[in-house]
Amino acid sequence: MREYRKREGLTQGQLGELLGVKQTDISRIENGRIMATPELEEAFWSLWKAPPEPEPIPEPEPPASGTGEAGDVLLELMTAARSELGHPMSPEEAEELSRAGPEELLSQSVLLREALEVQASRELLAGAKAFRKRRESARSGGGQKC
Amino acid sequence: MSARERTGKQLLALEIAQARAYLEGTMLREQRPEKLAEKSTLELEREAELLREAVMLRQQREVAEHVRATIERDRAALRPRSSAPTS
Repeated sequence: MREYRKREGLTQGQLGELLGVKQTDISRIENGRIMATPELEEAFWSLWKAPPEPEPIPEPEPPASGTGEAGDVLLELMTAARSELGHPMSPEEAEELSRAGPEELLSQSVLLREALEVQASRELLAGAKAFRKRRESARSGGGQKC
Repeated sequence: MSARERTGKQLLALEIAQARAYLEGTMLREQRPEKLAEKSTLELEREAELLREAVMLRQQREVAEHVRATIERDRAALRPRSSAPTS
């Protein structure tokens, strides 16, 4: 009651007025000297529309290591990506990653994705340059014929 | 379990099922998302996060493959054709 009253910036007297009881009653309830009647409790919660939600009970934390089937799928893709990048994953590295937690696996995967993106951009650029060069040489060759 | 948590779990289960279907190349209904909702919220969150990343990595690889294929096609198109046999 005290917590809610203070949060709303009310004095014991003001809350007492709202609930139709004396300030001394509020003080006694807050100090645990008397129990609030069910009617008073109901009136109190009706001021805030609803009682607060109970604290959620935290679920038991699964073991930090091991990422399950989803981790295996991601690791498989990461291994293939490393090969594509020309840096195949060594068996030791793969073993280490398979024991890593999800955060480690995720951060490594993000790095790999970025590396793949950079490689694709480079290939695209090199391809575009080669295309332009060939087209230009083809045009100049065609010009000679004319 | 509150209605909000139940909905959250259902959405996570659906996301996992969709990711698996994409990665495995299967139909969504084969993944049975309603079965996944039996797992705890934490397990579902972790699995969804890993599979989300796996999907993005796979998509990035597909982009790289597409780029390579396009470059190769362009290269082949510009390659001088073998001269026709002289009669």
